Amino acid sequence: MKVRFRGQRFYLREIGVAWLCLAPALGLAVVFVFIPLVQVFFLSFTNWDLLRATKNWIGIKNYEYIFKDPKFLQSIWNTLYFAGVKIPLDLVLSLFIAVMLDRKIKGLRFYRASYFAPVVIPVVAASLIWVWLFDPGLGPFNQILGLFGISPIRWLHDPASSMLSIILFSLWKGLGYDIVIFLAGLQGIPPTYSEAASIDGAGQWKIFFKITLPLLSPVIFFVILMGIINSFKIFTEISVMTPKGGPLYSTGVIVFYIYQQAFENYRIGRAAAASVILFLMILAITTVQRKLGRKFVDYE
Amino acid sequence: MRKHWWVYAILSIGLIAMLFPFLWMVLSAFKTNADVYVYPPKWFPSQWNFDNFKRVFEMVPFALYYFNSLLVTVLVTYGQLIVSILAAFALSRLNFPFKNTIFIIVVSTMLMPFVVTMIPVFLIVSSFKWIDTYQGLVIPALFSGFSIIFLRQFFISIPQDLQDAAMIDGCGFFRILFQVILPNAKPAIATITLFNFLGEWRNYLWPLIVTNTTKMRTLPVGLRYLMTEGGGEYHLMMAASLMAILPVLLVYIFSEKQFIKSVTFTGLKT
Amino acid sequence: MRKLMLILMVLLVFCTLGLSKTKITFWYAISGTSGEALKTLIDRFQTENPTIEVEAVYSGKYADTAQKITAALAANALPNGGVIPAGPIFTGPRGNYAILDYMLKDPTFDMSDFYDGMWDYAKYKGKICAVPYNISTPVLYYNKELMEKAGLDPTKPPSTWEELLDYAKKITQDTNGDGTPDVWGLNMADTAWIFKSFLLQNENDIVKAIPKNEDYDIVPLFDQASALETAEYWKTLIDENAMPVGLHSLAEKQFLGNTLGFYLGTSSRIGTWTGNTAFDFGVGFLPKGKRLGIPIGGAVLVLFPASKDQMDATYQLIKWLTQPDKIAEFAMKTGYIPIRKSSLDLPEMKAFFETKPFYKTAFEQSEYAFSYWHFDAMGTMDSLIVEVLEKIERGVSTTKEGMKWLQETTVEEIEASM
Repeated sequence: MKVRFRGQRFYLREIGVAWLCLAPALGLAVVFVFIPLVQVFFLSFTNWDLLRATKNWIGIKNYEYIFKDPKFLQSIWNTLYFAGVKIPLDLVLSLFIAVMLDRKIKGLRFYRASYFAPVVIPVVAASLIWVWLFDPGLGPFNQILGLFGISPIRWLHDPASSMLSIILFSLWKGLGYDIVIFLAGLQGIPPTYSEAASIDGAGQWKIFFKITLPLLSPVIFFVILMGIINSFKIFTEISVMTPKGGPLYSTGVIVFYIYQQAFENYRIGRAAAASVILFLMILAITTVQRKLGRKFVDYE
Repeated sequence: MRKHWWVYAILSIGLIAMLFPFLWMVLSAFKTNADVYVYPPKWFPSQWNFDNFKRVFEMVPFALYYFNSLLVTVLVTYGQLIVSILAAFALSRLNFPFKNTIFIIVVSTMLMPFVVTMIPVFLIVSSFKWIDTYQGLVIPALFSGFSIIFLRQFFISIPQDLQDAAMIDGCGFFRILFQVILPNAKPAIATITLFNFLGEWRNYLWPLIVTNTTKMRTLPVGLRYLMTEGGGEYHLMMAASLMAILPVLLVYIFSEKQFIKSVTFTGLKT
Repeated sequence: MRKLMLILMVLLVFCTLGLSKTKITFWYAISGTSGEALKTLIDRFQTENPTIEVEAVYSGKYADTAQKITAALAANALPNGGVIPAGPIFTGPRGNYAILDYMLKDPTFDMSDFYDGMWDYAKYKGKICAVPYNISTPVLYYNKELMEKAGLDPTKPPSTWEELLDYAKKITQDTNGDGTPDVWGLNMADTAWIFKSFLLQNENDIVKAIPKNEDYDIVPLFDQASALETAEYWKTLIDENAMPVGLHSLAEKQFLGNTLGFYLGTSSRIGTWTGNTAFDFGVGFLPKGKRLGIPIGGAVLVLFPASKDQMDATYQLIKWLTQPDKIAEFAMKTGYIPIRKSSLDLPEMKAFFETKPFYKTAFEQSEYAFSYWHFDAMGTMDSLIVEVLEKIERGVSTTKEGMKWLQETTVEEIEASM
């Protein structure tokens, strides 16, 4: 559609207004996102140690170091392990609960509000509560297990269970968010679809797998994508609940590693190198996911 | 619809699991030393007293932390909103060269975890002499790729006809923004406001690094500082957590519908 | 009219006096009772020195403060001074030895009154760049009730390594019969610190400094037979169920929860714990190995570069805080050890010991205090010690492999930080 008065002068004014509107956002992005990103790349090739005023160019030594450092490799593994266990569990549980809540039950609002409550509170405060819950001696979890005759678990203090404990916490903290999203997705599916199917004689399970699930696929995709991105950023709960990265570094995730190198060992160069790797990993994963998303997600 | 008892049973078990940590926190905030350091653990305080809360207030300026958190959160939320609305308006309703490039650049910032750039950001902020100031807390947080993209997606869905009609009436671009776009984008704006408010209220890493003195600390940082060398005294931490959580929880209880709407909205839009 | 002028003049003088107040910021890394004690002292300093205004800021626990100082160093946003953990590594590497110049020029500052081990703790490359302040030593806290239950004499805490192992073994109990002990003999929160104590007691120093063209090489000493012996003793404590595997971060809570016989840790807990436990406890020297040896820990007073006025004012504060009577007052309130010999001779200190014998034990350990110079990779070395002990406890490495790894990695880290 062409509007009569759109002449050259008008177009120039439009460009002017556009850049004026973009200026604050772009200015902030340049100063606080892009310049820092370039600096991180630069710093990753130096041996800067915060204690000294000087920094020297040392080539790829930092990269060599971190790829030889078993802790860095372990931190990558820990991050993947966290994502690999947490995301599927979260997906199944939240979808399951959302489906239950979708059955037009009484007190829906109360249930939904309660499941969502952990989402709104600060992570630090929530972590402080759970540190006590997990305490093998003074905490209630082992006491409850004891009632069922289960012998005590060392939760955060055993390399076998420490990351699982963190995952348990994260599930509690984040489940409500995904439940609400799934619930909205479910309620967006017109009931006529499943009614038609049930007239055709399809059972509940069949309806769920053949109709509901495919229709939900964009939502599922969104939940997985956010899950992965957030898994790579996890830090606060780790640093509050396991300040040293847990037994045998079993909860040391990538961000935690970066933080330790920078602020405990004062090795900015190494921290920057690890940051660059983290950035590349997230970039790779999101690219792959977008591609997969286009292929598999049913956008109707 | 059939209503099976087991649906309620399962949901209620889940419910107890979700609420138990809150219950433990509330009960424990009233415990004394003797109630805490006892094996096996005691669930109920031997008597209800408010000593822990008093001690927390003696140890740290909690009211100040509240104020800082609130101020910073409000400034960030609204500042970010203004920046994002302007950018989203340009990216959705205006034509100009390199529009697509800029759109891609903004999208790419969403992928970047803050920790990656944290150290240089800190150095930049300190070169502006903004360490331990409100500017330092607020300004670096004003850009949000997510907010811009989210608003842009919504602005695009507003019919072009409305804009054209306003133009024929002789409206300038800014009047179009204020009289056509914004009134039609109310739900999106409400959503992103709440979303950013929540995010900023919880923000921990940046305030931890950029503040030095007590008078600048926000709640999550203040909580962290309350943990002393040995890992903190459990019951005091619970009293402090309760106080930190209570306002958010109250706001949540009274505006639960809006919360849920926001989450649904952001979740399904992007 | 003249009168009015005079009044105005006087007012003006007062105003300028008021304006010329030197403002300094001072960070401190101690909280709770200790933080309050320091704050009270600083307040008094201000009333005695009205021209100086001190903004005293609690900067968080040791790790947080270290992080903040590091960031502030990078950003040139340092405070004027403070009570800072690992202080010398924030001054020495940047060539900031200003505090030493002040002390040397000041005839009224008696450096020889400090205990011998103290000054080493304030050095970087052999040169003083801080002043010791809230120094603590590890002591033995023993739970008398649990000792009695295990058939031990609660008036005789373990005094040697053998006794420590033996007594602790007896205290460990599985009271509810679920297969894992819930009462333990021995534990500690800061494993690196206690392990270093054990090393010293086994006549194995931690590091040595070898002079090398006007500089020094810091060389760790974990490769000696006595170090391996120490690691083996540690492993025995675990193997014989005297000490739990990997529950060190809960040690204080176990002790307070009446489920730990012996806690090895900082003397600064004396003040907090006395009268706050449900059971009777005592305080003793760390059980000795071949000798008594106590590595000191804590934070030091530092002076950061600033304008001359501010540096003068900060030095004045530092000097004031380290006067014998102030040191004594701070020690009595907190349980940190007095760093000056003359503090112990003060009458108030003698009276204090009569009523609080626990403190006497802690303070008397100062004589056996030991420290080494600060070096850049010092914090990294401590994390490596924690890491290796964990691997040994969990059986991931043998003591031999572990100590070999510790030695090699520490050498590498020191080299990388040069």
